[in-house]
Formats: sequence, C-alpha cells, structure tokens
Amino acid sequence: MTAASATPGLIRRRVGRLRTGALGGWLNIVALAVLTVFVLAAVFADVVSPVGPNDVSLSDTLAPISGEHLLGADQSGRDTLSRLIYGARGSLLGPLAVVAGSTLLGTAFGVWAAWRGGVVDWLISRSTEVVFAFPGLLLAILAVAMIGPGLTAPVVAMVIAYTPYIARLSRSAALQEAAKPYIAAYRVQGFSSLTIVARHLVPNIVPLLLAQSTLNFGYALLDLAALSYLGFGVQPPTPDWGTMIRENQQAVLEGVWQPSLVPGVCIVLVVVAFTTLGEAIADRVARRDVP
Amino acid sequence: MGAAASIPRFVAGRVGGLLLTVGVTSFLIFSATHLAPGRPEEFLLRGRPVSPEALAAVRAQYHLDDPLLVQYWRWITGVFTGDFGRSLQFRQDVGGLLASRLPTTLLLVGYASLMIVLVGLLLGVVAALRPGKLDRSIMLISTVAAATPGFVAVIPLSAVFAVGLGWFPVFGNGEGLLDRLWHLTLPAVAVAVSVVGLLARVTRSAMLAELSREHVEVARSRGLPFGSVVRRHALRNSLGPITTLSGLIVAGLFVATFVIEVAFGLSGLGSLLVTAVQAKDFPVVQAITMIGVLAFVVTNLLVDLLYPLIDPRVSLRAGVAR
Amino acid sequence: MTALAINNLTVELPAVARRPLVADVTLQVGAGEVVGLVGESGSGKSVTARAALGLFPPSAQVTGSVRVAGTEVVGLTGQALRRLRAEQVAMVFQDPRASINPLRRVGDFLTEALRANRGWSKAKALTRAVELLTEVGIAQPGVAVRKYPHQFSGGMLQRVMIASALAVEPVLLLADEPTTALDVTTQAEILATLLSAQAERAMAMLFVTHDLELAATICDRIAVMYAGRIVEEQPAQRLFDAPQHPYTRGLLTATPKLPAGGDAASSDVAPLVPVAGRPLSLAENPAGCAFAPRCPIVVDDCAAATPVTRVRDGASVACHRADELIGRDA
Repeated sequence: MTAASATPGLIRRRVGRLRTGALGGWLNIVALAVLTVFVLAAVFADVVSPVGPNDVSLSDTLAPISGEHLLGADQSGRDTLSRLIYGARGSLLGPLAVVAGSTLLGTAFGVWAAWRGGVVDWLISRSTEVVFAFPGLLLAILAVAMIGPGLTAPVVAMVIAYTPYIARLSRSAALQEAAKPYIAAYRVQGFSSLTIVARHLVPNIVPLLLAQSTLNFGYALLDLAALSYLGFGVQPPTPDWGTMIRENQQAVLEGVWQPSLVPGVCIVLVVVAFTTLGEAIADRVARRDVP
Repeated sequence: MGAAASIPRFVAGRVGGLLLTVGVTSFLIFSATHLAPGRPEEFLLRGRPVSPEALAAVRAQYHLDDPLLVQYWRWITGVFTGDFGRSLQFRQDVGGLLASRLPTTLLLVGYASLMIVLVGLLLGVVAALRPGKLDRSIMLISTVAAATPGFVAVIPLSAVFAVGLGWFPVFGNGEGLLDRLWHLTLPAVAVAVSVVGLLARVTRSAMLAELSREHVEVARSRGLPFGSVVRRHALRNSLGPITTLSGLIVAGLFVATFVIEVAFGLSGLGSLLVTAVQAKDFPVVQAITMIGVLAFVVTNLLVDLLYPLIDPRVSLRAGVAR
Repeated sequence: MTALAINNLTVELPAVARRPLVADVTLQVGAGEVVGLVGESGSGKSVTARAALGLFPPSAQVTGSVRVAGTEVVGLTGQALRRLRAEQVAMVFQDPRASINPLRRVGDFLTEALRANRGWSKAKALTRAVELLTEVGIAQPGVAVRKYPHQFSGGMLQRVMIASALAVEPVLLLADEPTTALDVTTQAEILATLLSAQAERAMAMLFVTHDLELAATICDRIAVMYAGRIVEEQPAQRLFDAPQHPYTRGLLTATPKLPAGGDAASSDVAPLVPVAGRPLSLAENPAGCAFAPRCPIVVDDCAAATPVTRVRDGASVACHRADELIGRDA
C-alpha cells in the first residue's frame, strides 16, 4: 500500500502470514523486551527524557554523540534522544488508535456478516472489496487533502483501510465457529443471538484477531510514519519519528547521519518486534486449531 | 465444461468485478470534494476571500450547480479520455502535468520491480537450496528488511553510496536514459528493500514445498542435471505464488515510489501529489489518486489473467465448482 | 551379467528410525529376469528398489554393495550417478499423478530426459516419444504429447510413465507398485503393457508389490521382505506351492482365493486367516527375529538371535525353524 513501508504490510495481509521459520523462540523474548522499553519510554517521557524535546541550543547544532547528547543533536540543536523519547508517544499512539478502531469495526462487521448472512453479508463483502482497491496510504493522503494535516485524518483513513482485513478474517473465523455444535446447542437452549455471539462466539475468535492486529500494529506504524515523513501526519514542532527523519535528512549530505538514522532504527526495531510477536501468536493459534 | 469454455467466463468475471470496483472507487474519489468541510467552491478557491461574482464564476466553471451524478459522469468520462480538468495551483491542464511527471514514476517502478524480482528470486532460491547458516542469515535479513520503509532506507543508502563513496547522486532526475537510471538507482534500491525480502521468503517456501514433491524426486531419478530439475520443475512450479506476490508488490509500488520521489526530490507523480495536497489542488489530487487505484487494480487483474498461463489446471478450477 | 546385484545392503536413518530401513539385504536380478519384491508397507521393499537408482533417503547411512550391470551404485555421485540413471536404470512409480509434473506437457515430460541426457534435438526426441506412446497403447500419440497430465486418466498417465522409462532403454526396470493407485479394471492392462515391453527388450525387472499373488503370476522369482529383511526367496511357483517362512505362509492364507471353477459361496473356499498382530514400526527394534511376536510357531530361541539365511535347492529362508518346516512339507 504505501510507502515502501506499507507495501509489505498490504501484501502480507493479502497473501497471508509468513512463518518466521528458522528464527527461534528467543526472538519473542527480545521482541517483548524491545516493546516494553519503548512503551515505558513513551509513558514516562517526562521522567526519563534528559531535556525537553523542543529545547533549542543553537551552539549544539548537529552535535555529535557525547556525554551531553547521548545520541547527538539535530539541525536546530535539539537533543535527539529526548525527541526520540517524546516522539515515541505519537509514533505509538497513532498505530494504537488505528489497530483499536479497525479491530473493533472489522470484528463487528465480520461477525455480523457471518451471523446474518444474506444481504448483510453481500453488502459487507462487496464494500470490503472496494476498500481493498484503495492502497491505504493513498486513502490517507486523500483524507489529508480533505480534512487537513495532523493525526486525525490519517488515523481515520487508516482505520477505514485496515478494517476490511479484520472483517474478512473475522467473517471466515466466525463462519467456522458458528458451524460448530456448541453454537447450535446454545440456540436450542433459547439464548439470544446477541448473547451467543458476544459471550461465546467472539471470545473464541479473539486469539486469531489478536495475531492479525499485532501484525497490523507494525504496518500501521509504517504507514503513519510515512505520512509524517511526507509532512501530513504529526505536525512540527511535536516530535515524531517520521518527522524527525524528514527534518534531518538534509544533514546526511553534510555527513551527519545520526539524527535521521536513529529514529529510522527505532521504527525498524518496533516493527520487527510486532511482526515477530504477531507471527508467534498466529503460530500458537494455528497449533491450537490443529491438535 | 472443459478448459476452452471456462476461460472467457473467467476473464469476463474478473473484468466485470474490476469495472464495478473502479466505478465505486472513482465515485468516492470524486465526491470527496463534496464531502470535505465547507462548500466546494470555497474549497476549490482554497479559502481565499473572493467576490460573489467570482464565486459564481467558479460554480459555473466547475458545473457545481449540476446534480452530483452529472458532475461525476462529466469527470469520469473525462478521465478515460485523458481530460482530468485544470490544476488550480499550476493553472494548466492536469493531463499535461501528469504526462510530464508520469515517465519518472513509471521508470522508477519498472527499475525497482526488476531489482525486486531478480534479487528476491535469487535470494529465495539460494535459501531453499542451501539450508543452514546461509538460509538462516537470508531469512533474518529479510525480516529486518521488510520492516525498513523506503524513507528510512534512504538514510544509510545516501550516507554510504552518495556521501561516503560518491557513486550515485542523491538528487534530481538526470538527462537521457542512462543518466536517469544512474539517478534512479538509489531510489529504486530504497523502494525495493522492504519488499525484496518478502519475495525471497515466498520464493523460499514455495521452492521448499516443490522440492519435496514426488515429481521432483522422479525428475532426479531420471538423471536430469540438478540445475534443470531446479529450474524446470521446482522453480517453474513455484511460479504461481511468486507471480501473485510479484503482482501485488508491483501494484503497491506505485504508491511506494510516491514517498521515495519526495525523499530524493524526483519530479514524478508522488512529489506532484504531495505539493497538490499541500496546495489543496483538488483536481490534481483526484487525478493521481484515481491513477493510483487504477494502477493497483489493473496490475492485480493482469496477474489474475496471467494465472491460467502459469498453471494449466486453473481454467478447470475456475470452470468446475469445487 | 547380472543386471542387479545387491549384497548385504543396510540403510539406516539414525536420526529418525531405531531399526534399519533395510538390513543386510542380498538380492540378484539376472538379465531378462523378472523378480518380485513383496512385503507390507514399511518393510523396506521400496527403499531396496530405489537403492538401484542410488536414490536414498536424505541423511541415510548406507553400507553394503549395490551393483547395476557391474557398476557400484553405493557412493556414486554427480556425473556418474546421473549417467546410471540416464542410461542403466529406470523406474515406474506408484502414483503417476504425483510423479509427473502437472504444469508441463506430457511431451515435455517424455522428451526432457532424452534431450538433457543424450543431447537429442527436440524434433528427434518428440518422434521417439510418439513411438513409445504408440507402443504403450496410447491412441493419437501426436495429440497426447501436447496435452497436460490433468487431461489424462490415471491409467493413461501410468502408460506415459512406462513410456518415459522405456525411453532410457534401461538394463534394469524398477516397478514400484505400478498398479496400486489405479482402478482395478486398468490394472491388468498396465501389467500387460509392462510385461510385453519387458519381454520384447529382455530387460531385467524388479517388481515391487504388497500383493504376493500378483507377484506369483508375473515374476520368475520372488523375495519376501519383513521389517527390512528378506525372509524368504524362491522361484515364484515354488514359493506359491511350498512357502517356507511362516510370514509367507501367513500372507498366502490371508489372500482370498476362489477354488478353480467353483463359486464363491461354495464350502470349498479356503479359510481366510489374517496374519495376526501388526507390522513392526520404525521405532521398534526388538532382539531376535522381527516376526517372532506375530509368528504362530514361535519358540524361545526366536527372540534370542536374528535367524541366518539358509539356502537349500535354490530356496533361501531366514527362520530358526526352517529345517522343521521344510521337513514337514516334504
């Protein structure tokens, strides 16, 4: 879909999940540790950040890595580490909103389509196909053109773009689940559809959706970072990893690469971690389903 | 039944689905102007204060008093004849703007596709044939590469190959084909990085599945040279998933290159789209979005239509209900 | 010269199986001879046959000797192994549907070995392919070479497979359950095709099957395998008339038989006695005779030592009680 970034996200969701294969289980622990560090940094940014993200010190313009600036400083003399830590907030909150929104909507639509069938199923399935034709990043750019830059338009567009994947997944999972004898048993006992779906059917497909949503988190992060990089997402001076790369790209030509490379490395680390965990969860679900 | 009868039906079904999708998406793209906050003519004038007469002139120029469906019909028929309206920002025909920008984007997409397919296939085949350390390293690298978006890959690429070694330029389009390709090399690599590992992984698993098939063992038992067994049987039979994925990758590349064009200051469709969004130049945004969707769905359709050539059994599959 | 001479062949998979897939197998197939190799699935008969092609399971440990027309196969690699497969040995596999690449035309399947191994032109190879298809009984061979495998029935595909084996002009033809995957009605036709091609060329053939009666009707000699070992080997008719190993006897009484000219309901039908127990899995490696747990005439000695193969009057049998058995039958 989008940036070189989002392309794999889109393709993976369409082609299906790929096993990490040869990579071992210890990677899951590393992935979890990486995510914990980033989340803690984002939550306690005010405590752990050495200085404020927008504290300008002109004498430190493009300062190299030193005791004073552990990861150097950017074009305007702002501390890279501090901006990175504060930037984690927007960079992680955006994808969180996208994943939460698309998982809720997608599950609702998918389960509804599977449970009701008929016209509802047909309508939802066709709408899903239409949204599939929109590369997510393109939809987000269109939304920015309509509403204006900032996190809102891209997040709303991404929720729309990601919902069909969850809807399709939850529809097929719900169809499988609904065909099982225990659902029929509840129906015979006179439980209402809503009760059966909410209390019994949905909880059984949650692990599968969790796996997909975990993977989607990484892809959404890539898409939103691309939008920030284009100047359509989080607006300066608020720090954001995508924006940081854009702001400091020029300095690479002057031989100073760390202010732009470091946020890039953070993006890669977080996405690899989410991919690893998502595939690990999916593997467990697959093993549970095939005893 | 039979293969011959089901292929036209297969093609007709796919083309019909595509037309429906294009119809709905194009309507959504067009009506986006009207969904945006504020009145369309104000939007089209990008918020500048103007006299009521000027507003009326704009309404007339853009036929804003016609019903929405009539406006849409005028726009979509224009799109298919190359008439995308007038750019508000550049005050010239959008079609002409696109025509001047399209070659760069196409060249970049083509260049990157070539790189992705060649390197991805090579890595995947090597990983499948050399289990152990080499296989594991390729898989590890492809996992990291798949998480590296183009605009991140730009940084180390330009730091090493442009600033450090000075092999490639980092800015501009270049003149003439060779110079253009030279200018587009780093951008193409940046676009390719994140998807090349994906193709390598799919190639590897498809190859491993085929290599364990009985007909491959039979081919070996017939004394065929190893290279021929790999090429004519394992790789040939892996082409199904490889082509499907390659199609999705190339379809996605159109949008992927947009970001890279901005990163490298290339004047293609992507950089035009970004400036158009910033300037609220809506006819240009609509046109490029439409082209992006068309490129995406048409590439996917082509792959679908290619499939019966790759797998002669597919026509039967489509014709006989399972 | 013997077409195939296997001596003390042992194939082990230390990582996977506790007992050898094939243990101490010795077997000869003379020029123009048809030898049957009979056993249950997992008895090692297919592994033995594939050894003649130098086709061993990955990471298998192989000891002993396999000679095809005087050439040692064990340890053969690269060009020499390819030459063996291209010029000396060919194999017809059980499931033609799985054995022929579904994405390539039948003509391509038939010609690719001739072109790659003999450097023939496409036209020359195609002419030969059409000749061979005619020989194996495929109507309109000129049309058939342009078709894809999924357009053929299983029986027709197996004919294609036989044609491709004949294209090699092999010294030795291996047939691994060539009719098992087919409809009963086509089985006889395929066998007839196979046997007439064999007779015409005076090829040696190793016929692998689980069907002892089938083997008895088409083979000159039969070797019976159990749990990786050859337990009995005799000329076909004698094995059928006077089986010596208790396992062979069990196999014969387990086969439903109609008395000549009688009807199935008559009381003349021989009683059907299945071989008791179950075959040995690869995870089991008991001491002594592997058949002992299922053997109706087992004695204490049987669990103590692996029986040695004793040869008498052209019959060989590996049973501790072979002497008594022969005595009883004589």
